Amino acid sequence: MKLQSRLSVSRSFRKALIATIALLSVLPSAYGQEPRAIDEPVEPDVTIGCLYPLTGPMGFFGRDADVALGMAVDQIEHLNQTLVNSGEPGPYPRLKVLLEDSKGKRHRSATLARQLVEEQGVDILCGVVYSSIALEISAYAERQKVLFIGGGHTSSRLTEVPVNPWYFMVNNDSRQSMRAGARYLKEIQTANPWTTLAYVGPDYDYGHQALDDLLEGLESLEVPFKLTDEYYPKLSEPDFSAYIEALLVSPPDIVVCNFFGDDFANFVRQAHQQGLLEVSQLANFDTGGGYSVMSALGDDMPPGVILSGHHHNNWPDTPVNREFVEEFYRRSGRYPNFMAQTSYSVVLAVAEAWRNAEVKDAEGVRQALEGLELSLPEDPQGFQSWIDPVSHQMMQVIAIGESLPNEDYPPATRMLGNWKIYMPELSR
Amino acid sequence: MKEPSVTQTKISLWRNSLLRRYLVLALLVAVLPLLVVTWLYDRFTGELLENLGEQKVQHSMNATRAALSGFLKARQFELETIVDLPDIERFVSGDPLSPELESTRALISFETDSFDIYGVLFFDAQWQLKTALPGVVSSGSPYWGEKQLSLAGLPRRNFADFVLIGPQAPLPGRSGWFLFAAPLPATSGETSSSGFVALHVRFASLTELLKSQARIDGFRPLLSTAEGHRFTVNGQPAMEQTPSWLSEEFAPGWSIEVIKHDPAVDLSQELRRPVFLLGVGASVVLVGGFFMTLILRLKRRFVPLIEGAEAVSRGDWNVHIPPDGNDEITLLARAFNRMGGRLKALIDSRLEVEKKAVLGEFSASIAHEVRNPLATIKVCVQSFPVDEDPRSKELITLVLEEIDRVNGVVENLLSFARPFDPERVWFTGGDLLRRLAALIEPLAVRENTNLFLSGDMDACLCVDENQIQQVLMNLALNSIQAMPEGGELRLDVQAFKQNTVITVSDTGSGMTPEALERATEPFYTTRTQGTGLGLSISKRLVQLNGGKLSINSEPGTGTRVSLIFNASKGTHG
Repeated sequence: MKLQSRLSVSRSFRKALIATIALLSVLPSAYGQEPRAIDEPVEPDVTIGCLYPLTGPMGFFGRDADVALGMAVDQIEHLNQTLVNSGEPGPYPRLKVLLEDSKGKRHRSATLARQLVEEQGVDILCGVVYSSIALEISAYAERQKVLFIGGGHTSSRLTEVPVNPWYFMVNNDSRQSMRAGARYLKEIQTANPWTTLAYVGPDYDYGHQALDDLLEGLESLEVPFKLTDEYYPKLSEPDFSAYIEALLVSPPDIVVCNFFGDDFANFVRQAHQQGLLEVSQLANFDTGGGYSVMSALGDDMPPGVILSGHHHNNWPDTPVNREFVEEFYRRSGRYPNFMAQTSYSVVLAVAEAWRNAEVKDAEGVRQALEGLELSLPEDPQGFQSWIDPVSHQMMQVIAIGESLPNEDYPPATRMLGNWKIYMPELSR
Repeated sequence: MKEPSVTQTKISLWRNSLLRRYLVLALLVAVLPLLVVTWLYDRFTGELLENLGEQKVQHSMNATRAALSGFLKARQFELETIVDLPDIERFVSGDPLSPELESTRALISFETDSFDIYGVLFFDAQWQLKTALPGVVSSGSPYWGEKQLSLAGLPRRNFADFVLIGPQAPLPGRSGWFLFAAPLPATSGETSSSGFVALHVRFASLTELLKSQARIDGFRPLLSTAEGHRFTVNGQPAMEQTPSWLSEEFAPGWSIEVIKHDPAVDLSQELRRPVFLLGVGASVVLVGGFFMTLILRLKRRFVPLIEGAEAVSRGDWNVHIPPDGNDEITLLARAFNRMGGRLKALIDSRLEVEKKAVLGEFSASIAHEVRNPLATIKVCVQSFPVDEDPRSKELITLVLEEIDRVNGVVENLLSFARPFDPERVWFTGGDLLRRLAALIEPLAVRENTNLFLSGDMDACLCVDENQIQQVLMNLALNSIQAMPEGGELRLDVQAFKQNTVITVSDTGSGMTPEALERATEPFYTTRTQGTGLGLSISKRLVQLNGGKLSINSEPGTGTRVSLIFNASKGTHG
C-alpha cells in the first residue's frame, strides 16, 4: 500500500510537470528579470530567499538556479490553478522567491542572509554553493529559528550530529556521493585490481570532509588500498601543474579529484596534458560529471573518466527528466547544470512540506520536511526521493558513469554513460 | 704464364670486395660527424643550459623573494586593520557573537574574505584559543567540530611588531598552516595586552609562490625554516637532503632555498649520453644495413658478369648473361653478350676458312698427284690388246670403270677445293625441276620411288644452271638412297616475297640431330659408299650462287632440304 501511494504521488507530479511545461511553453515568462521576485497579486503564503552566485567564477550555478526556480514556481502555480478550476482549494502555497547574488563571498552571503530574514521577512533561506558559507548560514538560521534549505553545497558536516533542526539538505551530500564512490571502486577492483589511491580536493571544508567520507566508505566496505597522497589546492586555482607533477612522481592507480565547475575542468585539462590520465584512473564521484564541466571541456574531456553529478541531463531516461531538461532549454537556450535541479527541488520541497504541514507556520513546515517524500526529475522509475527525518538529508539514487562521446547536448561533446546505479544506503 | 685459380678470382664480400671499402668509408662519413656533433652538443649544450638555468634562478630569486615578502606584508596589513577595529579585544574577553560586535565581525569577515585565509583566531595572553571566526575556506577544527587548536611545538619568531607561528606541516586530512599574530590592544584599566589576534593562513598559498622557480629545469625551490624543516611548492614536507645551491631569507627564519641537480633532472642528464650513443649505434646499424643491402644487390648483379667472363676465359663461348633490369649493369651485360657472340662468329669463321684452305690445298694436291697417274693407267689399260677371252674383256672394262670412278672422286675433290665461278643467268624454277625430274625419273621408278613436282613453276632465280642442277641432282640422289624401300620424293618451287625457294623432300629414314648438325662438313657421311663431300659441295655451290642451304630432318620421317635464293631483280641487275 505504501508503495502504491508513493507511485501515485510520483505520477501526479509527473503529470503536473508535463502539463505545466506544455502550458508555459506558449506563455511568456518574466522570471529572472529585475527585481528578482515573483510578484503575486496577493500576499504570498511562503517567501523563500535564495543565495546563489550570479556573477563571478561560480555565476553559472546561480544563473541556472534562476531559471529553475522560475520553473518550480510556475509549476506550483499551475498545480494550484488546476485544483482551483476543479473546485478544490489549492493545496500548495502561494510562493514568492527572492534570489540574491552572493558572488560566492562569505561576508556578502552572511550579510544578505540577515537582510533577507530581518529586513525582507523571508520565511525560508535557500542556497548556497560553498559549504563553509552554508555552515555559517546554518548556524545563523538555527539562532533565528528560520528554515534553511541547503541546495548546492555538499559537505556532510552540515547534516552531522548535532543536527540543526532548522537545516535540510535537498541534494546528495559528500558522504552519500563518496560512499557510492567507494562502492563503485570496490566493484571495479575485481576487474581492475587497483591498490593505490590519491586524493585532490579543494582546500576548504567540503574538500576535507569528502576525503573523510570516502575513506570511511572504503574502510566500511573493507576495500584493501593505500592512500598515497592527499593534496588540497586552493579554490579557483588556475594552475594545478605542481600538484599533478607531484602525483606523477609515483602515480597512483586511482586519483579522486573533488574539485567542481571550472576548477575541475582545469584540472582534467592539465592532468590530460601532463600525462596523468595515461597512468592513473581519474574519478570524481560528487559533481565532476556536471554539465558545466562537460560543456567547458568539450573534446578535452578524455573518455573513460569516472564521474557523477547531482543530476544528469541524460539519466534517468524518464518523461519527467526529459521534460525538465527540455523546458529548461526552452527557457534559457542552454542545457542545465545540476544546480538547476537542486534549486528546483528546494521550491518543490517547501511547497510539498507546506501542503503536508498540519500547522502552516515555520515549525509546521519544518516538521513536515522531516520524512517528506518528493518526486524529482533525477528520480529513476519506481523511486521517490525522501528526506531522512534524523539527519535532514535528502535520500536519492546516485548514478556514476564514464565520460563517453555524445553530441546530443551541445556544446558538450561528452556525456556520461555505462552507468552504475546506487540506491541510498539508508532505506525507509 | 700461370692462370689464376678459381679461388683467387672469386669475390668475397669482406676480404677483397670493393663495395666493402665503400661501406666502411660510408659508415665513417656518417658516424664520425655524428659522434663529433654529439660530443660537442653534450659538452657545450649541457654547460650552456646549466649556466642559463643558474642565471634564471638568480634573476627569479629576487622576484620570488618579493612575492613571498609581499604575501606576508599583505597579511600584515590585514592584521593591522583588524587590530585597529573597535572593540576588537572583546573577542577574547566577551561573547564574540554578541550583537554589539556584529559590525566588527562583519568588518573582520570582509577584510579576510580570501581563499588564502582559513579564519581569524583570538587567543588570550597565555595563547589559549578563545574565539575562531571562520573564513570562506575554513575547515574542521577549530571552526567546526571540536574547536581546538594546539600551538605546542610550533616555532615562534617576531616579524616586525608581529609574531609568526609555525608552519604547521600538513597532517592526514588537514592542510598546512601558519599564524600571523598581533597583540590586541590593552583593555581599559589594563596596561598589558589582553591577548592576540591571528590570521590563520593557508601555508600552501605561500609555498605556491615558488612555482616560478620550480619551472626552471635542473633546479628545485624549497621553503626552509631555521629549524631545518623544508617544504615543497605544494606545502608538503620535503625529503630532499641536498644542500642548497642558493638561499635567501624572506622573513625571520624563513628562507627560499634552491636545490641544484634535482634527481629528476640528474636522471635525464644521465640518460642523455646513453640516448645519444644509442642514436649513434642506431645510425650505424641503419647505415650499415642500408649499405649491406646495396652490396648484396650489387653483388647479385655483378656475379653473372664475373662468371660469364670466367666462362669465356675457359673457351665457353655459349655463355649468355640474362640482361635483367634497365641500368648500367644491364647495358654492360648486353654489350658482353654481343661481344661474346661476335667473337664466337669471328673465331668460327676463321676456323672455317682455315679448314677450307687446308682441305682445298690437300684436295688439289691429292687430285693432282692421283689424276695424272690415273690418266696414264687408263691409256695403258685401253691400249692393252683385246683378246677374245671374255674374262679379259670384263676385267679391262672393270678396271676402266674403277678408273672413271676414282677420277670422279678426284673431280669432286677439285670441285670442292677450287669451285668454278658461277655464270649466273635467270631461269625459272620449273625449268630446273622439270629437267631434274626427267633425269632421275628412271632411277626413281627403278627404286620404287614416287616423284612429285609441285609449286610455282614460273618462280625465277638467277644462278649457274649447271652448278644448281648438280646440287639438285645430288640432293635427289641422296633422297632416293635414303628410301631403300621406296617412298615419295617431292620437288617443289615457291616464290616468297623476294626469294625463290626450291625444296627437295623425301620420306626416307631422316637424320639424327647429331648427323644433321654435321651433315655439311666435308668427308662426313653415314653411308659406307659415300665420300662425304656431296652436301659440302652442294652447300658451297649454293653459297657461291648467292643462296642458302638449310636442312630439316627427323629420324624416321624424312628430310627436307631447302635452297633459298634471292630473286630480286635489283640485286642481280
